[in-house]
Amino acid sequence: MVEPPDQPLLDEQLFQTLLDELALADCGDAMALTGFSPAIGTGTGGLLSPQAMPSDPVRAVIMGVIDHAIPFAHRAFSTASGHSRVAAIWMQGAAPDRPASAGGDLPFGRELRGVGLDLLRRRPDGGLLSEEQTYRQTGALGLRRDGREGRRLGPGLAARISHGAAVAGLAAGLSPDDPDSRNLPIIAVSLPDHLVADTSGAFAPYFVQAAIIFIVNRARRLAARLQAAGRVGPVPVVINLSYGVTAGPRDGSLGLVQLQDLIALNTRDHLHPVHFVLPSGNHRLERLHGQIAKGQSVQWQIPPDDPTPNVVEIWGPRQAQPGDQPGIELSLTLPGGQVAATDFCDQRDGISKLMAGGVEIARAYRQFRQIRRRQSGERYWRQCLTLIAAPTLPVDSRALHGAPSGFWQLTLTDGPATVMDIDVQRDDRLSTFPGTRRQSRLYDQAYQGQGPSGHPLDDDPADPRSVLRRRGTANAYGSGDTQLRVGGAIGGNGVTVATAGASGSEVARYSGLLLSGSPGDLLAQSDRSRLVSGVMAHGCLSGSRADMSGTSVAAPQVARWLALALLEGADLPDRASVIAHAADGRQPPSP
Amino acid sequence: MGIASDAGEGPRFVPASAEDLRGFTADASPLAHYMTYGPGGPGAVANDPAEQLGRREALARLIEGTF
Repeated sequence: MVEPPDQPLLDEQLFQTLLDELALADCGDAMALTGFSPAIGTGTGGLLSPQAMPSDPVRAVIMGVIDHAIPFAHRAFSTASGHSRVAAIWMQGAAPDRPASAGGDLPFGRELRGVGLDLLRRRPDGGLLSEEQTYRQTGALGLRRDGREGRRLGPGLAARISHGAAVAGLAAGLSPDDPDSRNLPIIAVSLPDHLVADTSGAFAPYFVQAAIIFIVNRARRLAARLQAAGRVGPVPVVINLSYGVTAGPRDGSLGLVQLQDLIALNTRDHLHPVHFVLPSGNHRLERLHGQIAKGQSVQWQIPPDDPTPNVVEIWGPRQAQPGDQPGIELSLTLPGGQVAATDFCDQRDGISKLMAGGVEIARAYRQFRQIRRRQSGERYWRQCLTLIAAPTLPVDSRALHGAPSGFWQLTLTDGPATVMDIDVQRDDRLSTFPGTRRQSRLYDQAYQGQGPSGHPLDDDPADPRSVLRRRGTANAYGSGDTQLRVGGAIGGNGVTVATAGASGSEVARYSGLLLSGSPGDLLAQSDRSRLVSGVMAHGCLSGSRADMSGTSVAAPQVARWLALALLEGADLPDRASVIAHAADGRQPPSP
Repeated sequence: MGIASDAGEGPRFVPASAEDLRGFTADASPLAHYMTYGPGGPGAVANDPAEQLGRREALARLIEGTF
């Protein structure tokens, strides 16, 4: 038993500070609201060249994209005159160039704005700098954070296709000749390599929260310009976040989720409505989620040769007070038969080392989290036990002892009397990044993976005998009150409403399920057919195309559909109205 | 990360301090804590205040090192 971290892991006060600052601008404070306009077009750099400003400011909709390796110089994000529709992009992983960086208000990375990008690209002969040269000159390609040439974690924009190219292209890519292309300006954030390579999302909230604040901040400035150009009333914003994790509380309590809800529910701003669109996730059948009760056991399958830690979380039910329920304790039976158990020594929060043969093979964190839902005003507590297994392939033999691979039997020896959620955190390797990460999973002999026909079962049985569940596998980042969760559809029927019990011929089997059994709120195509995976998406360079599959590419199609509907004047203030709009079968013309 | 109001810019970012970074990243997950202070992290877990400060700085370095 060792002491817990010297501060609460959930820093409520700091998060509240952030919310208060947002609220300052939300409450109609004249200084805060008018404070955006003086900076526009002055020393901080203009957001859009005059040739790229919306041709119809009354109809314009702002598209926000948070992703990785976004090819901002792509033709699909340009006007017919070659000017950038990207009003601002924050490359969080690029080398900083202060004090020259536009705005000068970012703690790291580099910001590019539309006007600066156009000036950079415009050659004396009237032509445009190539896309590759643009990326190299702006630090988006080939440069490490210290500005020197070197190998990055991943190929990024040097690859034929990137996640950001596909997602941004599906969300906001338009033909430069499209008369509405200028009416859909883009504000983007490109997440750092290391963040995306680490699929566990251990450090993601900091960067994604900052990305959301950045988009809101720049969108407010752009909205002020549109209002100066004749727009009356707020400007709609659609923000696509094709990103997620497989663990975490699915009750909307994550700070990242509450931030989205706070922004979306704010109706007294330059921006309204603000819709966040997220994928439902791709892990329904990956055996990463279950429900377990005190006294029950489940096997945790730890892969060999895994250089990264493996994580499982056990979430207790709501409690009025932290002392209302016993704290969760567990024991481990390792593949060799050795037994290790947590011992929090009657401490409510803490860390417990699990030893085997004198070696620390895992560490358990127990936290009682006080949760405050800002919309409903609810306050309650939930306890979470996070069990972290050491890597099975130590990367530094001086500091790490490898944990044994194989089946670890987890037994809940104490805790609340009611059933609890158990979730394995994501730890797979993305194909665009080198190195090795290996996904751990739950295993239960009672789990029925296939039906009598041999096909995978898409949903839980009515009376599941196994600990493992398919329902409840949806992306935790989309668990709030306002986000639009998008599942993957087989074949192309536009944007449709997701319903529980849809068959595998209609819905991609990997689409995460909400607790209701629905693969999200809406569906969009993620695969052409059961046999031909993926949809056609933009490559990194103009003219290139590639297939990409998953709910990550379904979400931006909904973002695009929604933005075009708002551009056509549809009144869609919240999630329910958007779903109703899709139920009406209203599909804007495909651009 | 802190957010400060500025008459010319509205809400804006200010450079992150180690303390701020800790709050945000620790909120992210215990895994962030483990990766910093666990067996493979740069600092051993201890109760000594000086070491606690060192751990915070180590976390800040870990995060800032990724920028």
